[in-house]
Order: sequence, then C-alpha cells, then structure tokens
Amino acid sequence: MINNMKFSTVNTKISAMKSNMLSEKDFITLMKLENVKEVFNYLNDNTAFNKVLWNLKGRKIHRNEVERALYKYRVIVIEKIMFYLRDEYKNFIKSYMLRYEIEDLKLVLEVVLGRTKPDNFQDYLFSSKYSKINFTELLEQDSINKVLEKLKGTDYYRLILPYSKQIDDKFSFYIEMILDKYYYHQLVATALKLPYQEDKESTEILRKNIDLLNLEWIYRATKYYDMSKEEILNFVLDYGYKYDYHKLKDFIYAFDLKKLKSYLEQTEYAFLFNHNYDDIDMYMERRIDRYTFYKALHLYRFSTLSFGKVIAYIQLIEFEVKDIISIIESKRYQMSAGEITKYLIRTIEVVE
Amino acid sequence: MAVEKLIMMNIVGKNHYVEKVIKDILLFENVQIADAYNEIENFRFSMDVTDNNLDEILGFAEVQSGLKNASNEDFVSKSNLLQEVFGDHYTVDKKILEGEIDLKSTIRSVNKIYDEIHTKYKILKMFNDDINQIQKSIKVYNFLSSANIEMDKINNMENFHYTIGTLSKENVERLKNNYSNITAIVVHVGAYDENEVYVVISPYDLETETNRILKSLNFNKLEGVKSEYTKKPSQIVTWLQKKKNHFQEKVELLEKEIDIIKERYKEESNYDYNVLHLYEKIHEVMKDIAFSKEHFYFSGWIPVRLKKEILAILSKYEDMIIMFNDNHQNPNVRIPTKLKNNWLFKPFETFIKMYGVPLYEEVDPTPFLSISYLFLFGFMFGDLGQGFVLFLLGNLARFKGFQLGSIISRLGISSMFFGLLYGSFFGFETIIKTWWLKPFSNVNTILIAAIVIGVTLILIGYIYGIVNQYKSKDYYNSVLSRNGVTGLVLYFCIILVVLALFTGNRLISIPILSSIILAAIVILLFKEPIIAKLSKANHNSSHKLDSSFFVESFFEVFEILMSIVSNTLSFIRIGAFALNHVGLFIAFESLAHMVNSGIGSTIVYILGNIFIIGLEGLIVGIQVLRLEYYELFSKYFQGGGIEFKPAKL
Repeated sequence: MINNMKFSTVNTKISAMKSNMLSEKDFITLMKLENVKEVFNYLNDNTAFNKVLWNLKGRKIHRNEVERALYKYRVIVIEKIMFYLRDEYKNFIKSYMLRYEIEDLKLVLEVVLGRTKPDNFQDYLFSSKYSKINFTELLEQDSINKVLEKLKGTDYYRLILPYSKQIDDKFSFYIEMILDKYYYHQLVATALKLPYQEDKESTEILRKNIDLLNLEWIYRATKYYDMSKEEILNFVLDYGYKYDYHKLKDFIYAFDLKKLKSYLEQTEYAFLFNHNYDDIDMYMERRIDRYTFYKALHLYRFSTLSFGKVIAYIQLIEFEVKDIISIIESKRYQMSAGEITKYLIRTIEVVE
Repeated sequence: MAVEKLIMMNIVGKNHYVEKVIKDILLFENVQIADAYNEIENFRFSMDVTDNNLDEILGFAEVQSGLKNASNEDFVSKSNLLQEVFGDHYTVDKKILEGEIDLKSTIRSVNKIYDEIHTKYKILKMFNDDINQIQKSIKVYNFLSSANIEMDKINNMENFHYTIGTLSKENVERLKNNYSNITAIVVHVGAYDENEVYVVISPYDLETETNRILKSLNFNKLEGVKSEYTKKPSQIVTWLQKKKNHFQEKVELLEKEIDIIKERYKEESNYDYNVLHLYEKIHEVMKDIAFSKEHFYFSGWIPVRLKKEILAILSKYEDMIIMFNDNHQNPNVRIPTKLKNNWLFKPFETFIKMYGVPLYEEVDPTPFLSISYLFLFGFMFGDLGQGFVLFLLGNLARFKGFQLGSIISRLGISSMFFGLLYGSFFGFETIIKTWWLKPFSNVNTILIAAIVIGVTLILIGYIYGIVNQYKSKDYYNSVLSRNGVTGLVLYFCIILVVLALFTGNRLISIPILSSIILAAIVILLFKEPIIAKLSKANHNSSHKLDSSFFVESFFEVFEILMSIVSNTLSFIRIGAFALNHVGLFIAFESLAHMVNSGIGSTIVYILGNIFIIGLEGLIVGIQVLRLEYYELFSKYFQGGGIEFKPAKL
C-alpha cells in the first residue's frame, strides 16, 4: 500500500501528460496534410508540442528544426517526470537519460574527427540538464585524445580509451557498439535495483527489447558483416529476458541463419522471422518498435499506481515522436496517407 | 527609479582610429553594441549611408586591422604558451589599459619574454613527459616481473606475439565463457584500477583475429613496453626507477629557474595579457561594425543621461559624426531594458529578473515590489530582535558575495520597525513598549488590516497595469480588459458592495453599484468583438457570436470574478502569518516552562528563536514572493524584455 502511495503523484502527473499525447484522429489529420509547414502549424496550434515549437513560428520552417524541437520535447517531458521520483526510481530515469548523453557524445566524437559538420552543433545536442558532461567544451577540442582528457573521471573515458590508440574507419563502429552496450547494461542494472518485485516485473518490456535487439544483431552480423563468431558474441547486450549470454552463444555457434529462423518461428518473437528474407530485413527495426509499442500500451493500461506506468509512458512518448518524425519525412516524398501508415510504428487504418 | 531611457548612437568615423574608439567604448562600460549592418540595411542608421557619398560597405574581412599583426598563428601560439606559464597570475584590470596603448611594443614584449622562457619550459615539459612514460613502463614491467626471464627472449619469439592490457570485470566473464573459441593464450598477471591485467599470447598467423576479439572486449592495451628494454623485468624496473629519480631532480632545478624568470616579468606579462585581451574584445566588437574603404559605421544603445559624457570622450577624434536617434517607433526594434534604481530598491531587481526582464515600454515594477515586499515581510515577521539578527546575517552574507544578503538585511530593518509597532523583542512581548498593538490580542484587527492592505496593493496593481497597457499602445485593452479600467471599476465596485453588506456603510447606493458591476461584466463578456469592431483592423478575423464563443466568454468572466475573490482573500495570509509568528513563539515558551530550569529554558528559547528566524523567516519570504508574483505581477507585469548588456572588458 505504501509502495502504491509513492506513485500516486507521478501517476497523476503522467495521466495528465498522457492526455496531451496525440489521438489517432490527430495522426490521421497529420498524415493527410500537404507539407511540413502544415504539419508544423497543426502541431503548434493543437498539441502540447507547442511548448517547443512556438518560437519557430513566423519563420521559414525547416524540417530539421522541427525534428530537433520534437526530440527536445521528449527530454523535457522525461525530465519533468524525474521531479516526482526519488532514490532508485530517480536513478532509473537518470540511466534512461544516458541514451541522450551517449547520442550526443557520439555526435561530438564524429564532429571532432571531422566526419560530420552540422552548422550549429549546439542545436543537435539533446542531453538533459542533468548531464554532467560539458559538451560545448568537448566540441572545442581538436582531437579525440583531448576529448578523452576532458572525459576523465567518467565511465566514457574507460570505455573509449582502448580505441583511441588506433583511429581508423572502424573507430566509429566500436564506439557505437561499446557505448550502446554500456547504456543498456546501465539501464537494466538500475532497473533491477528497484526495490519491489512488482517494479522488476515492469522492466520486462526493456529486457524483451534487449532480446529483440540481440536477435537483430546476430541476424544482421551473421548475414552481412565480415566478423568472427567470437566478436559477434562479445557485442551482444546483457540482461536479455528470454535469451541470456549462453543461449545466444548457442545461436551463434550452433545455428545457421535458416536454423535460427525456423527455431525462432516457434517462439514469442516469431513475428520477426516468419516472413521471407527480403521482408525480414526491411522491416526488422519497425517490427521491433511495433512490438515494444504495443507492449508499452499494454503495460500502461494494466499498471495502476505503479512504476510500470512510468516506464510505459516513457516508451510511448518516444514512439510518438518517432512516428511524427516519420510523417514529417514522408511529406518530402509526397506520400499518400495510406502509404505513410506502412512506415509508422502504430497501426492506423486510413480511409482515403 | 525607472526603466532608463536609452538612445541609439550611430557613429561614422575614419577607419584608422576605429580601434581606439572601440577601446574607449569598452572602458566606458555603458554601451550595448548593436549590429550596424542590420541597422543600415533596415534604414535605421540615422545618416543615410548610401546617399552620403560615402563609399560602399565592405565586409569585415577586407578591412585592415591592427590585430592582424597579432593574430598570425605563430604569435598566437607564443602568447598561448605564456598564458600556460603565467596563467594564474593574470588579471583583467581596466586601470592598466587607460592611456595610450602601443600594440607593437606589446608584441615585442611578448616575443622577448617568450624567447627567454620557452626553451626552458619546453625542456621541462619534455622531462615531465619522459617521467610519465617511465612511470607507465615501470607499471607494466612490474606486472611481468613474475616471469623471471630476459625480455629480449620474449620480444624475439619466432612464431608468437604478445600484448599486455586490462579488461573490466564483466568482460573477463565474457572471455572466460568463451575460452574454448579464443585464438590465444591468456594469462592473468594482476589487477589495476578495478580492472584485471592480462598477458595475451597469440601466434602471428592469428594476430588479426585475436586483435579483433580483444577489441570487441574493450581490451585496453597498456603502454610502456619497449623493445629496447632487454633485461629481466625486475632489473628493468630498478633501472627505470633510478632514471626517473634523476629526471625528477632536473625538473625541480628547471622549475626554480622558470620561477625566477616569472617573478621578473610578472607585471610586464600581465600588461601584455591585458592588451591582448583588449584587442580580442575589440575584434569581437568589430564583427558588429560596418566598414567601408575609409569609414566605419558603429551602432549601439546608450543611456540618454550619458550622452554628454560619451560626446566628451569621443570629441578628440577628427572627422567623426555622432548622431543620436531616439525615434523608436519601429516595432521591429527591440530596445534593451536598463533598470535604474536607488540603493534601497536595487537588490530587489533580482526578484524582478527571476520573473522576467520588463519591456522597455513598461513601468519599472521594482519600487512597488520593493516597498510592498518590505512592508509585507515586516508585517508578517515583526520582531525587533529577530529583525536585527536578519540584518546582521544579511550583511554578513553580502560581504561573502551572496547576492540575496542585501535583500535580507533590508528585510531585517523592516522587521525591526514592525517589531517596535508590535512591541516584540525575540518573541517576548513584555520587554519593550508596544507602539501599535499586540497581534495575538487583536486577531480581528490584524486580519482585517491584512485584507485592507491586500485591497490597496491590488488597486495599485490595477493602476500599474492600466499605465503599462497604455504605454505599450494597447489602448483598447487598457480600457476594456480585465486588467484595464473595466477590471478596476468592477473590482472597486465589488469591494464597495461587500463593504456595504458588512458595515452598512453605503458610499454609493447598492442599485447604482450593481448596475455598474453588470455593465462591467457585459463589457468583459463582449470585449473581443467590441475591440474588433473598434479597431476594424482585422476584417477577416471577425468573431462569430456562436455558442462556443458564449461558453468561452462565460467561463472567462466567471474566472475573473472568482479570481477577484481569491486574489483578495489570498492576502489574509499576511495577517495569519503575523499571528503565526507569535503563536510559534508561544509554543516554544510553553516548552521552556516545561523544562523549568534556568539553563534548559534558556537553551529552548535560543533554539526556538533560531528555528523561527530560519524556518519561519524563509516561509514568510517565500509567501510574500508568491503574493507578489501571483497576485500582483499577473495584473500588470508582462516581462519578455531584453536586458541591457553593455560591452565590457
């Protein structure tokens, strides 16, 4: 009971914020709009996104700017939730926020390496205000070693250091893999530290997502990458829900793709593999998202006064932004509403 | 005591003295630079640049700048090195820079100091780097010391290659779980920094595979293994240790020599630094100045009262035209806001800025906020002794550089004043004379006084609001809106009605009041269509008088009426806290009686006072701020202005 009381405020807050999310009707309207400008106006006039969009009004709208504002919105929303949580729960959200910090860090490294050069990098950074890393300072450095020097004392230093000695075209690959692995490890590790059994159960959604990412990795790496089995195995993420390290080791060493496909077709994750090969590859990522999205909806519906609602809401807001951005992108290709639905995470029927 | 009048200053002058002009402006510290290109392009530059037969505006890059001599890479690296050496001794100081500045001699001086110091400094750095390297080697060979064998034998293995490095715990786990598939021999030799140290030996043929596996495990190769170290690891370590000590001695010697040079050039170098810093700033300002072949065009905001002073300063330049433009009609120009208040009110600007910078057109809310804040705080927290403590604490905090301190000390004085009125000294009401009344014996008077104060403040708030809307040329709203004349009349009439109901004191008959109230409500209901009709500006946005309009307007008016009640009642809290202040002390007093021993009671009294000053003082401070922000600012304060930020060193 006391456990439940702890979440009454945050649950109320989330219910309020959930009501700000777009309805199916909103999505249908958005899909039918002509261009990015109209999408922008609709979001700005009718939705909670105006918090981040209003100051773009009256200017020439760039797709990029709108997208960045939407990304920023996620962070602001999640930061808000943090207000209502304490201790282990707050730590969990902090771990979750690492994903933005890590994305920023990757971008900074690319910029410092000179591989990408956006006009105002500042606008591309989404880290929460809780991030202790001074990205502006990092961006001023002119070599990876100097960036590392500034990162001393953080986990990132230890993680990146080994690769900084040999910066070649695989550097970014290693950084990406190692940082993502670190993120998921931290996320689930803090999730498992939550005090109640009920909380731990609500992390199932995260761990199933890890399962799916691992399967995707093994499938893709085996099919496309010139990589030894040992390497593939070393890059799998920890804390899968159904498949732990040992099971994944079996998949890698004892199965070929065909066997893997036919094995997984008998499991909960069949939806990834019961298609023909072209289809598997093309929609893999979206299928993972869609699965997680519906899991999150379910979790949201069936959690009352519990942390599950928080986890579910965070996922839902991520997917909402992702879908809106898909719609914005599709405007560039002048797709019809019916066509756009294929690229969305949620399933929406459109009558044209 | 207001938002200070600013004026746009436009200068046209000759390029050859532009740097001197900027220096004067920087030292003047009262001009906010505006983008001159922008001003010219939008025809706001007070002289018509294109017609003045002055030549065409060029880009900044095309103008020769004295800085060019100082901005070549070689020189920058030199001054950076000096900054590294002298770093902590540098301070920016305006006084140093007054008077004629010779950039050339500064450059010479930098070169001279650099020449004296850089070789020694470089050698010092080299030694330090070497010591670092040796340190690393010592660490690695210590891990290898259990292998009692000459290193050249291992280094020159025919078919095998070795490497040494660290793995984190979780990766060790992964390595172990897959030992059977690894293409190398892995030997654990120690631990370091929570990581495990391993020597990995693999055949040359499988070196690439091994390396890739290690990479995927985040294996961190340790540096410091060198092929020229051929003896046994333990021998190598002793030898390196000796070498390190030797280097260390040299380092100390060099450091002493460098310190002597530093001492000699301390002031000269600081001067150079200041000059270079000045030129950096000048360079920054130049980006906002427009240039033609011979002339520069400068724009900046300056307080009107400093017009004469800046003219005096700039009068020494020949062929310079200075024009002031106070025609700020253009709605696209946002004029920065510079608040000007006397010493009593100044600290309260912090509270204003916390909420928002006032618009240039607005009336500065600081005086009203300061007076009402002081008054309300004193009313709620009136005590001669405790007020004095706040006064002392505030001053102490101020000297420690804590900004809020100056506000706290002022609040202390106000609290002392009300302490005299209430006759309260550290909570005791018997020690000093009561000038006005004792709150606890006059509960009703205090509560009624609170409401009266509230009504007064709200009325003043309305007046501020009307003036602000009028000043920002929002004439219709200043008359018709809820914070305009209509709102004021409505509020005033409701107050009169309430007064009549409770006291029977009828200044104006109730029917008249009621009809005025009704009229005000009707105006508020139809405010939007009325304004649309009057202004006739936006024909296309005509208001449809459909059901949704009525529902919306109805609730808006309902909300206005509700907030009139709630805003006023909100002020009861100031009476409540005045009582609470006494009540809290009574609680401690009874505790002290219960303790019933001289020392014990005294301790309770002291603790009680600390508690009251700390906690209740804080709560009262916050409550007053809440009243200011929520009940009063919403009536008249818009915010959204830009703060005046003059260019400085």
